[in-house]
Amino acid sequence: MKFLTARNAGLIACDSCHLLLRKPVPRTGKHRCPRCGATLHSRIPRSLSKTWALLIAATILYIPANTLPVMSVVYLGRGEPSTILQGVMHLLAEGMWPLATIVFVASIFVPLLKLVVLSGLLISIRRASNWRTLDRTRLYRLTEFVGRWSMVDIFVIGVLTALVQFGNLASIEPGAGALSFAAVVVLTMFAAHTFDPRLLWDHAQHD
Amino acid sequence: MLRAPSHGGIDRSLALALTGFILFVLANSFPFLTLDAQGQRLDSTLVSSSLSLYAWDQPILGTLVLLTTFVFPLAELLGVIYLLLPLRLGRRPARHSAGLARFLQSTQPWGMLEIFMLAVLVAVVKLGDIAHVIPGLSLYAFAALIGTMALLSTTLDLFDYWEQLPWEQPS
Ligand SMILES: [Zn+2]
Repeated sequence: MKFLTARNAGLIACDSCHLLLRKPVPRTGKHRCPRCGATLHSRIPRSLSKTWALLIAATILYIPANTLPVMSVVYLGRGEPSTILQGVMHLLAEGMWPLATIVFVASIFVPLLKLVVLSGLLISIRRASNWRTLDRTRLYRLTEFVGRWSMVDIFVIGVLTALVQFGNLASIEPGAGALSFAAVVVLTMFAAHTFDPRLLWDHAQHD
Repeated sequence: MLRAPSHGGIDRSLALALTGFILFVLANSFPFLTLDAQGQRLDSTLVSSSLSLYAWDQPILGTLVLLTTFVFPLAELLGVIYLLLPLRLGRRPARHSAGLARFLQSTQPWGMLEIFMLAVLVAVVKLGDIAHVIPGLSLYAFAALIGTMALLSTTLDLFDYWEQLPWEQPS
């Protein structure tokens, strides 16, 4: 037996104000919520292809984000560039392993987790999987929730470049990898947003 | 999802948003961190992080930091006050405010003050061996602001607002 979804019941819920409406017959263009004015759709239109596009772009940028230096410490004219991983190693060398762990998880592990999990979920929908739908939905919620924390490295770069400005003596400048890294974070956040977890339930069945 | 409208919820959200706004102004009015390196002192404010990225020719990063640590959090605080104050005064919300409510809902994950706080901690540790970092007055206001906004996000639910918004049932 299939789960009863709002769509099967002929109902549509507004994504924005959660008003539940009897499904309108789509005639022309977009249907808008009569209460809040948001566009109504029972599933995000072209959710799969949009999410794939964002994920592929993010995957490509993940490489320069991790191999190029995200910032460099210039001391007496000599620059010392460091990548994300080198930044983590630096924290470890200082004996700050709790902070090093947080930065490692937020900057390296979480973006990779998002890329892998979202791709996996997209493939599972493609294969019309009905395997542990609730767990897959929870996995999605988790990646959506933790994704923002990857921004921490961008803020570190901002704070350091603002604080350390001693002319020719010492300065910290943003590196070429910083923009790619920020793009990975933003693109994966958008990907999580365009992914429609309701698609997971369209093939879900009771045992 | 069935729930009776709660006036306590509106009061609480409004109080938190007003407190948050005052803390936001304080946090942005005073130096945030001061760096002391061999007699040279450098003050920085909250928006300095974003401005320095512009100065380093990284306008996209600068804008991203400005939006996530300044624009969206401020918009959330002011927006909540604008949406809930009429409700508190017993008026029905204006039709045109629905767009603002939708904007606030969709931009909520993009306000990142608590993540910025973690970044400040990381930056201070990284600078530990180079220079002495002195916490500024606004750092305390900022910490209080993060607590206030975290509480706001748990109590704030635009449910009451949406319930009060006038609309016409389609025939
Ligand atoms: Zn609506």
